[in-house]
Amino acid sequence: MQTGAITEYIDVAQVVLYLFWGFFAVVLIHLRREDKREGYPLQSETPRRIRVQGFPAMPEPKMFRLSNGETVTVPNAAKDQAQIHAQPVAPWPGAPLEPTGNPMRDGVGPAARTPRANRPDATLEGLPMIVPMRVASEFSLNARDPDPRGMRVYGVDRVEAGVVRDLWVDRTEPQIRYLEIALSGAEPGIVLLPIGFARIDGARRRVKVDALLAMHFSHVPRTASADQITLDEEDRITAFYGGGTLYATPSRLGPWI
Amino acid sequence: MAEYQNLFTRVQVRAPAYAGAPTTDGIWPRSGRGFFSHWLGKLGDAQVGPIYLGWTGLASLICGFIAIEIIGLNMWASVGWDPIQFVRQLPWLALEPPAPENGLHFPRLNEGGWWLMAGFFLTSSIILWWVRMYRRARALKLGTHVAWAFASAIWLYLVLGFIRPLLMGSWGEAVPFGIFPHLDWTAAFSIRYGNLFYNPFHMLSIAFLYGSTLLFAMHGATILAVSRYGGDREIEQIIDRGTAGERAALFWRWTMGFNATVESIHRWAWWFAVLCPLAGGIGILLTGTVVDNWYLWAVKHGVAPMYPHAFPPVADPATSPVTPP
Repeated sequence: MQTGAITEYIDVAQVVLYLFWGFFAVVLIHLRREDKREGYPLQSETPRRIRVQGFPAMPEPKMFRLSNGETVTVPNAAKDQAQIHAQPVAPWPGAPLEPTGNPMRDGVGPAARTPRANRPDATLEGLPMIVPMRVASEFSLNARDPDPRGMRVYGVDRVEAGVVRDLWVDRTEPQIRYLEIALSGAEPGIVLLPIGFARIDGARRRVKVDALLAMHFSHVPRTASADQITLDEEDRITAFYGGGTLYATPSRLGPWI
Repeated sequence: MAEYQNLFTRVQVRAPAYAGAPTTDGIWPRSGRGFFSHWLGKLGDAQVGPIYLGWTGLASLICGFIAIEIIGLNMWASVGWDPIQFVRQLPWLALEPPAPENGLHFPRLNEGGWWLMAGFFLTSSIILWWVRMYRRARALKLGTHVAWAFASAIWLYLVLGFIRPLLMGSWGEAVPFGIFPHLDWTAAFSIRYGNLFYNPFHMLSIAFLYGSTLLFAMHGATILAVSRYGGDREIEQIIDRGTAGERAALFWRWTMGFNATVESIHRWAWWFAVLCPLAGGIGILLTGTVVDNWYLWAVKHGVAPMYPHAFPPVADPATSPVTPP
């Protein structure tokens, strides 16, 4: 018999391999259960007493203890109760939705969002995390990079929407989160532009926004406080820009060719 | 119009260097005041330091220094202390383990004793660094996931250089120090035991290596893609999921049929990364101890076909009863 043989057929390496397969199966089941802490049980047409969760089942609830003393338990039965301003195009379940109003303002499709906490995200010390530089006065810009303040902001239609007035910075992970824009159109006001939707042209001192037309900027959701932004407001604002990527111009809805 | 894709930080901000989260234990303060690097800031946080060293960190660095010193001086001695030849031949120079006939005895220094000593100090250095990592995580009230993932890599290292040589009864089974010498050892090891590619744990290890890189590429790309919605603040997305986390999940639900959560994707990546050296270590441990030829093992278990001999068979010198003079 060969080295490591137990019987004519079974050997040590083979036994170890099968033990490993068993162990790996347990790991995979654990991982797939962890995947189901969000979005389960599934919506279904079946009677309510059947919990549609597939295999493996949803995990036991677990509790996160947050630094501010609150707790969050997942999975939980919390449901987004917001009214959807859209109608299915066909009667079958899962049919595409057709917006009934202004999808960018109603939060439909790529403008959709989920309700979040109505408090500002906080630093370890409990300060509001994302604030304008006029508040976080200890912040400065790196001299080797262009200073966006004072740059004109253009929509995808190449029409000027406003001028960058200040920068909102993250005090925990130092970086710019939003550009604060003073609108220059018919409706004056202050709106925030997420840095990820802004392309900064240092040479021509311009900020280009591909997501919106200039006229849309006045509809960007505003913050309740001039110097703070809540998590819910952050998602309202970013989702509005996200909506523009599909709804800003009618041609974006149609096919490319 | 091209859009900003957040691969690099376009405009960096500077704030006074952050001293770090407060800790309670330890008599060592964090040393240095921190400095900023423009080029690091292109990718992530520009601040470097302050850094905590601590007793275990200091001891680890000293042990590591001794190990590198022993290896380097032995290599230099092997070219007759010629500095030019040392640099020229460095990739080929080696500090070899003791010869097989020495068994597990402590040999003379220039016959493998230095190798044993370098291995001792390198292992001490690595294990002290593990202790430091574990204790730092505890001091900062973190989980110890990183320490345990590192332990998985240490397992493979110990199997190669310590556990398997012990089981085989000879330090000569262990890996030499040196850049090409350790690669040559790997190739020779594979051939000696009938081609390591037929070792199922080697296969699994490769699958987890590719799997973890794939998972991390998928995850990194997903988070960059939703960073415009604040998705890079992943902890917040775990406990208070926003539109960024929903978009990330929906993207994968729609493209591959199922999705992880912002939390569970990290469990996937952690397990695949940990299983890569874990499976690899098992495969090395079985090689030579309970399996002499992985190709024949694979033939026996129906993994590989029995190829016809293209050349006349050659006797395996290791299995031959006659010891060459």
